[in-house]
Amino acid sequence: MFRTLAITLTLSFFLQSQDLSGRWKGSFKRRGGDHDIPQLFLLKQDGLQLTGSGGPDDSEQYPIAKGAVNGNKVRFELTTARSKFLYDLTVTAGAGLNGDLEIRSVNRVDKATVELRKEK
Amino acid sequence: MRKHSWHRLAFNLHLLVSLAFGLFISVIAVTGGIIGFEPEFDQLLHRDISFVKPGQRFLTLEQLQQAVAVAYPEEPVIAILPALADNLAWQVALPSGIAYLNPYTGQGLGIRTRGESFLGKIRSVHVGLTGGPLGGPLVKWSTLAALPLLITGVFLWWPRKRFGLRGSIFHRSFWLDLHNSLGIGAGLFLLVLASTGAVMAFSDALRPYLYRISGVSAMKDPTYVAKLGGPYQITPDKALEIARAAAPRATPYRIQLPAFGGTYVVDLVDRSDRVLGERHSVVLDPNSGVILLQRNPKDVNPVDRWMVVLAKVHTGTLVGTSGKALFCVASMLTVVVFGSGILMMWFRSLKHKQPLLR
Repeated sequence: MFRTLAITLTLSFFLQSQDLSGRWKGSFKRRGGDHDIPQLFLLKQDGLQLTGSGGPDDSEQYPIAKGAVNGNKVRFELTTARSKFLYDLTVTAGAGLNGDLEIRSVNRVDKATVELRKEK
Repeated sequence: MRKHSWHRLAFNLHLLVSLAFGLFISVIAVTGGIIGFEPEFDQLLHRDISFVKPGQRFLTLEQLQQAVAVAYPEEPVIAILPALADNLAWQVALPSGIAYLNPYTGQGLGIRTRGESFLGKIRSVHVGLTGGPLGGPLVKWSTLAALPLLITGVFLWWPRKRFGLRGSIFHRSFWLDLHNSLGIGAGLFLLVLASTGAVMAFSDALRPYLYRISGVSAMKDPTYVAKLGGPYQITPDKALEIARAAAPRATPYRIQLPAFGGTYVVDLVDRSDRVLGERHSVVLDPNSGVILLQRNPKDVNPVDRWMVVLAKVHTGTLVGTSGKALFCVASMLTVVVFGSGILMMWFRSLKHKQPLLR
C-alpha cells in the first residue's frame, strides 16, 4: 500500500511540476478515419495558463485560446477558417500529451484522438 | 457449371448479401441522396441569412472588416468567404461562429455557431452509420457489398428482362416486377454510386499502392515558416489583388487572414474546370506580399486527380444539378428495391412455404 501511495505521489508531483512550454509534435486521427493528420504545437505555460500556437506544421500556426492547465489535465482550443478544434488532453509520463479532440464545423462535429510528444 | 447452377448461385448470393447488408445499403443510399443537395438544403434552412438582394458593387475587404467590427465587436476575423453567386451573403469566420454579411451594404444578417445539425447528422450516418468503432467499417463493406448485389441482380433479371408491373400488391408477382423494374431502372446509377463509393471508402488504404504502381508521390510539404503576430504590412485587399493576378482565371472563395495561420491564404476556384477547379491556392507573406506557395490543379498528381474525379462523380457535382437529381432519385429508390425484395422473400418463405435459398 505504501509503495502504491509513494508511486502515485511521485507521479503526481512529476506531472504537476512538468513545464509544458516547448515544441510538441504528433498527430490526430478522426474516429472512423484511416490516416493520421500531423500536429505541431508551440506551447507556453505560465502557471495554470497556456498560450502559444498550433497547427499541422510550421507553415500554418493558429493562436491557442482558452488554454488552461489543471493538474495533469490540459485544455485549449484553436480556430481555423473551417473549424474550431477543442483539445482535452492529459499529460502522461515520458513527455506525452494525449487525449481527445472535438472538431466543430458548421453542421458537423467530428471526434478524434490526439497523441503528442515534446521535442527535446 | 450448367446454366441453372449459375442462376442458383447468383440467386443465393443476391439473397444472402441483401440479408446481410441490404438495410445498411438502404440507409447509406438514402442519406447519400439527401447530402447530395446539402448546400441547397442548408441555404433553404437558413434562407433568412443566406440570401441578399444583388447591389451595384461589393464592399472592399477592409470595409467588410469594419462592418464586422461594428456588428460583432471584439470578434477577430479569421477568414472572409466570398459567395460565388451575386444573390448570396458572404460569410466571415469568427471565433464564435460564422457571420453572414450583405457584401453590398455590410449589414450583419446573423451568425451560425459551429456544431452538429440535422444535415450534419445525416452526413455522419452516411459515412459512419451509428458511429462507434464499427460504423465506419460497416459503411465501407456495405458499399463494397452493393457491387455483387447489383451485378447478380442484373444477371438474374437478364434471361426474362421483365419491365413493368403485373397483378395486385397481394401477389408476389407484383413485388417481383417492382423489384425488377426499379432495380434495373436505377441499377446503372446505383452501380456508378456504389463503385465510386467503394473506391472512396477504401481510398486511404488504396492510395499508397496506387502511388507505388503509378510512380507518383504525394504533394510535398511547404518549406516556409509562418509567424503569428502583427501588425502586417499587406492589407487583405492588396493580398487579394496579388492572388487574383497570380490566378487570373479563378474567383476567390476564401481569404484567410494572417492573425490566424500566420500567412494570407487565398483559395480560388476556376469554374470552367469542374474537376479540380477549386484547387487554386495562393499563400502570401503578410509583410512583403511575396507568394510563398501557389497550388494549381496541374500540380495534382494523376492518382489524386482520379480520386477527385471519382468523388465528383459520386456526389454528382461533375454533371451538375440534373446529375445530382438523378443520383438522388436512384438512391431513394434503393429503399423500395430493398423493401420489395423483403416482401418477395416473405411471400416465398411464409406464404408459399418454399425454402429461402435455392
